[in-house]
Amino acid sequence: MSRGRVEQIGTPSEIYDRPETIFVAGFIGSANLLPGKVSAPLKVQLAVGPTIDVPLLPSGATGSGEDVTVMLRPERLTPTVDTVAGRSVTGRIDDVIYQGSETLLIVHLEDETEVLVTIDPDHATAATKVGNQVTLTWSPDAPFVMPGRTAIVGATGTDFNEVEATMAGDLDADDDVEGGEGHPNAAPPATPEKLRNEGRRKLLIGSGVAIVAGLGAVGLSNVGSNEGGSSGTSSSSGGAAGGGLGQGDTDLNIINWTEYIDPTADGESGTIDLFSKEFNVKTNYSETWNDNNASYGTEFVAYLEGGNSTPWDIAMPTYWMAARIKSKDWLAPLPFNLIPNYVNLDEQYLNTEWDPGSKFNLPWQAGVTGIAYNIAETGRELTSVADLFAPDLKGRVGFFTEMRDTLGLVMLEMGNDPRKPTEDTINAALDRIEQAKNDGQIRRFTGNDYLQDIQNGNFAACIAWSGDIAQASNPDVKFVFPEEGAMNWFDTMVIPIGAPNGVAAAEFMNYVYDPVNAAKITSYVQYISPVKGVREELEKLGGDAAALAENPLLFPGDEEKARMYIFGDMPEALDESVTDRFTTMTGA
Amino acid sequence: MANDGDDRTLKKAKWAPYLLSFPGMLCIYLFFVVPLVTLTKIALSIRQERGSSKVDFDWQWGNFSKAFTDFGDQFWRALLYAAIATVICVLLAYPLAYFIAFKTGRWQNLMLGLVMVPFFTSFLLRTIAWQSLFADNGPILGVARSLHVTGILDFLQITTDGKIMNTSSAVIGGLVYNFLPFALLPIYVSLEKIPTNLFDAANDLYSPFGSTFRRVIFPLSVPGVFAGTLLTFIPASGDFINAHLLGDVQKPVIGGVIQGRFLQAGDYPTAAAISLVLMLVITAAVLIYARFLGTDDLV
Repeated sequence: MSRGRVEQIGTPSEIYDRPETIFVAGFIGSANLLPGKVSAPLKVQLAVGPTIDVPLLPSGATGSGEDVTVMLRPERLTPTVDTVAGRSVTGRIDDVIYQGSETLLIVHLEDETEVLVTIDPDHATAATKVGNQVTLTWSPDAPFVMPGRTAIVGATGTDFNEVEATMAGDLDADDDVEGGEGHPNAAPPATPEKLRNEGRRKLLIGSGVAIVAGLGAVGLSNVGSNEGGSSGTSSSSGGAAGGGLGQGDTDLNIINWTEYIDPTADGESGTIDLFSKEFNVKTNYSETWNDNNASYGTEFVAYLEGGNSTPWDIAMPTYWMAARIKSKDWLAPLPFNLIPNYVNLDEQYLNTEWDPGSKFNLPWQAGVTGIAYNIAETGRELTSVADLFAPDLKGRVGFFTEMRDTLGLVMLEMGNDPRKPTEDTINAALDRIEQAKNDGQIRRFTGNDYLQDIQNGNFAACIAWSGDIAQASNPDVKFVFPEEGAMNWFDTMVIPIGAPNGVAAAEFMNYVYDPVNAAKITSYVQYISPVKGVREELEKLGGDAAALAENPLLFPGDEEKARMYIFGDMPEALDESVTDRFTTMTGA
Repeated sequence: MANDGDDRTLKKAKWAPYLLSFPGMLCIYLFFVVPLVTLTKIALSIRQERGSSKVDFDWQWGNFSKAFTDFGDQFWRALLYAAIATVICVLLAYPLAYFIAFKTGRWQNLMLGLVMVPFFTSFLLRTIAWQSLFADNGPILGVARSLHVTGILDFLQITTDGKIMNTSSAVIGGLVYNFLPFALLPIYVSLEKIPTNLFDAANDLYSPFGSTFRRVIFPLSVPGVFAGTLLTFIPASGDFINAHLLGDVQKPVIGGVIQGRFLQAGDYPTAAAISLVLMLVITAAVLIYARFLGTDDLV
């Protein structure tokens, strides 16, 4: 809070790594604030001279020449001798302060802007001596850009005499400040005694500055202890790589659909157990993501609308639901430096309209929605979506309650493009489905339970998911890739904003994008893997797994791929009215 | 002066009941009154955003009328299904409860256990199992076909075009199956409490069994029948699982509408309004029924 107004509400890691205002940046921990102007996309020309690369510009600040402030945390800076284009500045070391677990360098840049750098005392070499010229460099994701120009240029909270004087007088006030601002996000405030020494020191500096200005504090405790833990040179992978994500001693919490990863069975470890062992993290894997709309309510809205963070580090919503969550700004940007294996991903599921550059979602598994029929009941081969409307199948046809699958296939049947849905094409499809329902053509709208109906003959034909039919036990049941085309869908992996352990989440993503690990998952779930190279890995495994490598439902050829459509983005208002009508129609 | 002490006792006695009932009242307030008021408030609001509990309070009585205009059919169908299922449940449960209470002797507890055992598995799973039993090629229709009674079943409207799955009969069947124990247990308890010497007395007076039942046993078991009816009818009228899994797509019920409005469409105000209307309709039905059965002193 500043001047009685809330500046930012967020988790400790958000506030520390992605402060929304310059005030917050300077207030929580120490920050080096460097003013500059946007010179090109993702480039900022600093007032001090060099043009640097930044990972992200603030939303709205796209125009060239816009004033911005770049924040670099002291622990993210590394003193070196080599200049790195786009991510370094040069200056002179004016003071070296040994603080026990870390050493503080006070550096003045060419225009006398003061910058703080903390380094591991073991790395204090001859180069880091008072009076030496030094180049400060950082990892690509370290700079954080905020809109507007800062009043305080350079390091915040640097006047130690003033700060310590404030501290001495206001220790009690500090405690009040810390505990007084009850925020649902903040962990119970740790008493200063609990924090490690340097953490405490920084914490007090921050609070001290705040008190000078007569301000209150927001959930500091975690920041203080985090900061204490991240001493060392800034380029050390763990601390620097987090990029705004929580990282810590917490478990990794994943929420997914049921039967959607290989379990530990018959003495063979499943992916979750193998990952937990290799990365030494306790993973809580929940299979309670049952329904996109319903789970969105219980797992996202219920927490984030009240300003809390979700307990999940990874969730697996279907692509359109991920788009909706993203539109609420409830997804954290993914730290790609921790997910180098993303290069193995199939481009088909990347760079969607709603998430250009796939900054917020990566695919988990994909699949095809087509037609299944029970030849014992139909007595003839079916080839197209149009067959579902055939009079001889009246009352023997099943459609999905999954709106985009049902709508998309009917749109294809009507010659419309589900990748570019419009109000007219959607309503035409809805009319056709409603007509079929009222005529008694459709027997039931189903979820996953359609498998039972098609296998026991209640349905002669129905809309179906490829993976299910691949596993179906009744040989009479066949899956068709419809003549008109098939719907393609994918479930995503996303990190909810404020995830407690985003770093482990990223490590998990990287792990499952290794083709060897991905092949292990594919051989169990039998859906389309978004990871390239899985087919080759399955072939190497031999046996049943090698047979899967030849399955066209798991590895569609180019001809099929060209006829697989992902349902396009709908404007919120249209989405809402269509969902309303479809829900009423299916009587779910 | 000696009265002082008595006054204090009297005073104490006045507020003691309130104090003692405070924890209970607090629970009722927190878990009944507050949610009900909240629900009413949501029911009178306009939604700001889909799937969110953020709503603007605006005296939207239209949400309530929608319950009848848009979803009237679903309402009456749900109540009809529940009523039919309740009647069948009681008709099935009463003889069974009578048998268990009076004829099983030392096997009584085992018999009760057998009634309960199926309910240790999930409600959903049991209903899905009925899909297989009701299937077009399933065992029930298989038996009917081999007995050549399909025409009779159609005539009795138990089957429609020789099918039972996805018809009203399947839904009612599912409801009867799922709620039978709720009807059975209260009836059993009320029968079991009847002292056996009443039977002896009736015998001594040469009352035939029919007369004993009509004039002694049944009147004494009415509270159980009443409780069993309520325990069956109330949840059955809000149930949507049976209608969704076993029912006809053209004949949805109100429980499904509420579920769909809340979870799929994210339309909290309409869902809240329908829920309240359903609650009021059930309450009214129960009160009328209580008056009719002459057991209003029991409610």
